[in-house]
Amino acid sequence: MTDNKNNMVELDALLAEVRADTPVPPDGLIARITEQASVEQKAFMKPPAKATRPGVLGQFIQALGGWPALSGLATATCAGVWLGISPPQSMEFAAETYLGVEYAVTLLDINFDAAFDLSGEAL
Amino acid sequence: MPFDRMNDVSDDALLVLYANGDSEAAKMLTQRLTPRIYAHAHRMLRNQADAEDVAQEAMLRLWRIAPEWRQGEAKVTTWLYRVVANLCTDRLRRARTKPLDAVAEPEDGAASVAQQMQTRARIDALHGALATLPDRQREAVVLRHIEGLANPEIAEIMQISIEATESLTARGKRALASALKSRKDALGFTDD
Repeated sequence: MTDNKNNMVELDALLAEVRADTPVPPDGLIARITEQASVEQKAFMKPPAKATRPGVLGQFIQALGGWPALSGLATATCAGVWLGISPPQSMEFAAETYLGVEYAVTLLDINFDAAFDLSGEAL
Repeated sequence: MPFDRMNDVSDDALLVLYANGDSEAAKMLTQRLTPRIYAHAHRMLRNQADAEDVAQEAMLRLWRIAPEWRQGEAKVTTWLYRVVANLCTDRLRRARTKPLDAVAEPEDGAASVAQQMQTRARIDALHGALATLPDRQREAVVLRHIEGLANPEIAEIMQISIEATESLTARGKRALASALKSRKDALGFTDD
C-alpha cells in the first residue's frame, strides 16, 4: 500500500518535470503557419465574380423559360409546320370521323368546261 | 484591430476577426495556439518533424473552418486538441505498421552535466513508459497530467463522458506507474 503511494508520489513528481520540459516549436514553424493563414484568408476573402446582366435576347429567352423551354418551343413549331405540309392519312381519317366533314383544299381550280357549260345554258 | 490590443480578446473572437479579413488576428492566434499544440503533438509522437507536420496541419484546418465558425459554440483549443489527437492517432497507427528499424529514435537532449543527464533520462523514461500505454489512455494521461486540462474539457476533446475520462486517466496513471516501476533504476529514484 505504502509502496503504491510512493510510486504515485514519484510519478507525480516526474509528471511535473515533464510538464516543465515543454517542447518549443522549431524556428520557422510560426512563420510558416502565419503565411498559411494569409494564403487561406486571401482565398476565402476573394470577392465573388460579378454576375453579367443578360442582353435583350437573353432576357427574352429567360422570359420564355430559358433554353429548355425554347428548345421545346422550337420542336413544337417544326412538328406543326411538318404536319401542315404533309399531314398523315390517319389525321384526315380522324377529322372525317370526329368532325363529320370532308374537305379538300384546292389551291387553283382551273375547270374551263364548267364555265362554258354555264354560258351555253344561258344561251 | 492593432496587434497589441488583442491580448485580451478570446480565441473564438480572434477567429471570427480572422474570418472577417483581419490578418493581425491570425498572427495572434498562431502565437497563442501553436506552442500548445506543437508541445502536445511532440509529447504524443516524440518526434520533432512529425509534431511540426501535425501542428501545421491542425492550424491549416483551423484557418479553413474559420468562415463557418460560430462564436460561443465550441472552444477553439478544445477543437484544436481534438484535431491534433486524431492526427497523432493516425500517425501512431501508421508507425506501428512500419518495421522497428524505420521508426526514428527518440531525440536525446544534449545535456552537459550529470544532473541534466539524469533529468533527461527520467523524462525519456517517462515518455518510454507513456509509449507503452494504449493510445486513448496515453492521450487522457497527457491531457490531464501534462497539459493540465480539466476532465470536462478532456471529455469534450475525446468525445467521451466525464466519468469515462476519469476512469481512463486513473487507469492510465496506474498503468504508467506500473511501467515505470520496472524502470526505476533509470529514473534515479531511491526508496530511502
